[in-house]
Amino acid sequence: MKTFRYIIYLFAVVICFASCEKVVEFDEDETQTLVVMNACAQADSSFSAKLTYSRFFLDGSSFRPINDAQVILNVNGTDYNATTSGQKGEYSVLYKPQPGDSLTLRALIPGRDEVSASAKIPSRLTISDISTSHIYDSANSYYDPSWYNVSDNIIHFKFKLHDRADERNYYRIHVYYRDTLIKDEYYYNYNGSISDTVTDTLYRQQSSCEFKIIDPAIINASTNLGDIFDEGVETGSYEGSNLLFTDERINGHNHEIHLAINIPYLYCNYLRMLHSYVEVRVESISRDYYLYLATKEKQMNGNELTAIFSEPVRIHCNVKNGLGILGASSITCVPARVIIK
Amino acid sequence: MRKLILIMLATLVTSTLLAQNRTISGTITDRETGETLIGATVLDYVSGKGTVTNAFGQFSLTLPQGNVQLRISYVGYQQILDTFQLTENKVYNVKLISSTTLDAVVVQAQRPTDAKSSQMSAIQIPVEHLKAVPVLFGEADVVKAVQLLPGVQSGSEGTAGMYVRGGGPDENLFLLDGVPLYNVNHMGGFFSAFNSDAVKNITLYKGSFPAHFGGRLSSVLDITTNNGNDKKLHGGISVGAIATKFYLEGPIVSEKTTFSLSARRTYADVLLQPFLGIATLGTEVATNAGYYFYDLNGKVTHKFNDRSRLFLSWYSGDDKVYARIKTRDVIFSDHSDKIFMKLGYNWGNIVGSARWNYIINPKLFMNVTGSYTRYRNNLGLGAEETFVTIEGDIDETTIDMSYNSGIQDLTARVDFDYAPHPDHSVKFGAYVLNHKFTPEIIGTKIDIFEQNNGVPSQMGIDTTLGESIIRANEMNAFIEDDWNITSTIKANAGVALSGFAVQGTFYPSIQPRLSGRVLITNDLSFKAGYAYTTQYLHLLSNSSISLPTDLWVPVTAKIAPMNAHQVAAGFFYNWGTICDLSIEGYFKKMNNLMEYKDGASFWGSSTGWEEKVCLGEGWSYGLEFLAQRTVGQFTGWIGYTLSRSDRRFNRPGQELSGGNIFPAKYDRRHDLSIVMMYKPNEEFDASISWVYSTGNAASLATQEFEPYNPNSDYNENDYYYDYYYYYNQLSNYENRNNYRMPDYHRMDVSVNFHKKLKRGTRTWNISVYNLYNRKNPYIIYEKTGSPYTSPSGQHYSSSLVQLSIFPIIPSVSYTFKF
Repeated sequence: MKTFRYIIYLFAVVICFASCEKVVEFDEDETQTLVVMNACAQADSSFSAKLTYSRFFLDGSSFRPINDAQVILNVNGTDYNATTSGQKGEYSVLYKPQPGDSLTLRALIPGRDEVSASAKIPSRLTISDISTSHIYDSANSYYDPSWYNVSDNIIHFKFKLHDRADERNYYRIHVYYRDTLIKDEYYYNYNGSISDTVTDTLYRQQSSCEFKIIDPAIINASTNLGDIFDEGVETGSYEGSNLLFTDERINGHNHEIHLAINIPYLYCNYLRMLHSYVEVRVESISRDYYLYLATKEKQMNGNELTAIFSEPVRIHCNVKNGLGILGASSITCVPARVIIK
Repeated sequence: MRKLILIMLATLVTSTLLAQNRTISGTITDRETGETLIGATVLDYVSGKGTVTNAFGQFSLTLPQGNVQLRISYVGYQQILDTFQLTENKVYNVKLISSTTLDAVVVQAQRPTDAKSSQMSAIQIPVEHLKAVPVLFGEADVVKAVQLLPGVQSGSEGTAGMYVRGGGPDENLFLLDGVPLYNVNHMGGFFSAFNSDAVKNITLYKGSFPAHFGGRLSSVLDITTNNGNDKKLHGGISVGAIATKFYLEGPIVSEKTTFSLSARRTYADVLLQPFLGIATLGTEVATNAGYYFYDLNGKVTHKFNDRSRLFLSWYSGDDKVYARIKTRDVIFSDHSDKIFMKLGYNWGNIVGSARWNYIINPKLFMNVTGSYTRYRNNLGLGAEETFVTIEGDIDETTIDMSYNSGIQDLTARVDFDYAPHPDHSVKFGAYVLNHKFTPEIIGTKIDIFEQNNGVPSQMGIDTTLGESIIRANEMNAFIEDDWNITSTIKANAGVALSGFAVQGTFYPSIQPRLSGRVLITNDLSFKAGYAYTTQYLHLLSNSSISLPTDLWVPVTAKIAPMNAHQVAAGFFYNWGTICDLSIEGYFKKMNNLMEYKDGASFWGSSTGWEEKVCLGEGWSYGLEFLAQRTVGQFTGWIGYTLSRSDRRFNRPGQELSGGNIFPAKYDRRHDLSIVMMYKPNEEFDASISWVYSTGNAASLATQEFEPYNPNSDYNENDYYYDYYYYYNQLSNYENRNNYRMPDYHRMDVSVNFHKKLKRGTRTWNISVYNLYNRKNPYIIYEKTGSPYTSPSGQHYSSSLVQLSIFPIIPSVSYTFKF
């Protein structure tokens, strides 16, 4: 099937080579910048929002933050004024939303119409029957002569998700790992440079990691559908780090979810991994946030070549008179400590 | 509707019983070639009654007993006037004399946009015009000539895609001798599948389809191929810039059995072979690769007697991509290794039909047709490796993969033409289609043979995956009457009943059709029409160019059939011998239209396609103007369309553009075509065409914005800022198709020099496509350039870039006809 795709690509490339490229003027009126309001209200977490201006697509500058706005968060009828610090367009409220809270976020910006969005914090979901097993996959181990060995550690992670039957629910699963490594002499910074100062003998790194799941009941009800070469469409499988799905096919059931989490084990000359914490975050999210994340993923991960021939993705937005999202979520974290041998 | 049918039948029966009428029936043919003439006019001056010949050149005209003054005419032919006493039914076969440079006063032929016909929105295209229109690489093309008519738009630059009155490319029914053709494109759509040498007659219906046509929403392009000369052998060969064509026609049994054969093949692959050989000279590989397309049309006609004829016709056309790569014999010190790889990719149609045409009586003609049409798309990949060590160990691996998809139809059809009364011409009939869809079948075969230390072992895999075959049955029955209500009012009223059965679901449909004409003066008429149409098939395609991966799929339990109501009205004026004028307005409302969801692409697979599409509605409306001159030294036409086509997808869960109305992909406000042909004598003719249209609609995000990213804290000095810049921005597509590409315009010219030689006529054709080298946009996209720093910070330059694919293209071709 991949070869088939390459033939199609080749066809497109031939057409491009046979063509003539020319810069053209954008001869329509330049569209006005819009206010972008981004926030996600998480249960039991302090609330913050970010305001920026959008930019015209041929304008190559950075996004301009909005620092002169009056931002008000209304929670179940009570207003909370947001404060801002710095010049990054960030506003925070000293209130931690709770599941069931109804929120309205308003921003008053001089010279602009009021920008607002509403959301409701979803109930926290219940999970049970958590089990973990760990497999060291030596077959996929390899040596990178540049500086480290890499091997695959697969963690099989199972749990039961209890879906509420009385409503349409939207979920997200993402997995983080936190490694603890011991440093023998010195270590490498994130950007690959070598630190010449010994500061600590322990070093920790955190990142989201990829996992695989084969589950037609939730994959086929998810929006992680790319083009046809996305095998998930055919097999009901998903491989990535950010799974979005609905309870369309598991409504009201206690559905077992089985993730195969891939944690790369790094061993360089001076760093040895001691153990790794894996944290599976299962989120119950609002419908708007679900659609926003799904469309965002689809637009940002679109293949540039196939994008020429596919329809553009419109980012879901629940912000009135602007762009962005006011999302709402309740996170259930499931930590698991894994000893790496 | 039932009442209307009953009234029509009662009228027919009564009038048949009461009138003292006699019937003149016969066939009108070309005197030199014996070809039947479709759409020729038979008019009685005494009664004012008339008719036109059907698709087999036959007519039946029932007139009152007594004196008859008949005029038989056809565009490009000398008319015949005849006076006689009609006392009994009469068989009247007519042979018209062709003339290419007739005096305009002599010719009073039936016009392509005839004011007297009751048919709306139909245009007949003279084949000579089709061949004279200048086109890409000098290759005369039916579809590209049709694109120059009002109400018809081309898709992208140079392609043979057809968009009629705001409809999609899959909403056009292409009939080749009455049989549907599914993929009408060669070479990604830059050429259509119709070889102009094989074509006899072309009629385009843009709306108000007669009831005997069905199955598509937007148009019917009805193409009839040559029967073959029944007197002597004729033929021709043409060598052009990209293809060679030939045709041959003649009698098998004089005036009884004829044949017509035409073929076309491109030869870029043949010319490329020596260069490939040079390129791989001295390397370890030998390559043989190329691309070509061909088509072959054949037809045999047998006349049993004046009442009975048999037509057997055949079309096959394929595009083929092939590559074979093998290593030369490479022998190393301890082993030898041979590798062979092959690729074969071909797609195309086969159409075959057998038709029996029988005159039951002078008033009743019957056609019985059996046909087969198939489109298929096959990819084959293979590799073989033979590895032999010096010790004699052998390792042979053979891998073969295949991908097949397609659609096949078997059709049985019976049509009747019945002329019971001078004022009625009735068509009725029925047909059934058995569709067989093969969405995708993927086969894999692996054979491994090993011999180690003289011990052989073998293993293999042979699997077939893919969607199972889907069968569907489509049934249609129709009746229509072309009815002269008064001497000035004429109507064509009909109804088609259809049904589609697929996977346990049955979709019935009743499709009324009505068109009428009021003759205001002898040359000026007002026409109006209404048609309801239903379509049961969809074409899955993601691009404006025609890719072989485009798949036809049937409606399903989830995806309901598309349907459309279309009303049209207009004035038609035959301005003496100067030209024919028409102005026509239309409004089309379409339901259950299919659009792809955001981000969806198919790339040749129908798996899960129902989840990737949404259904909505659309409207198209516009005004079409056509001035056409078909006789004289100067011929041609000016066509202009002012139109609008919108879509709305707001069903729950299927919203596009937020449920707002957005322009259809091929919505164009203005579309103008000017085609002029000049033929002063038999030695020379020239043509020029100029097209202008509003730019294509495209989706362009004019604003970009920051995504919600709680963990990001990048700034312009960060190491990862480049990554952040490129990947942490979102595009705001406010509406689909919100942007207009620059306007499209182009001029093409073509000249022909003919010379009569001893054994025939030779023609040199010189044509230039895109004469003033206009760079028309094919695709437009945003291109981000390299970063730069200004006092206000770091920036990235962006620009809007267009790709154009066809600059000025001159071409020369040589044709010899005998």
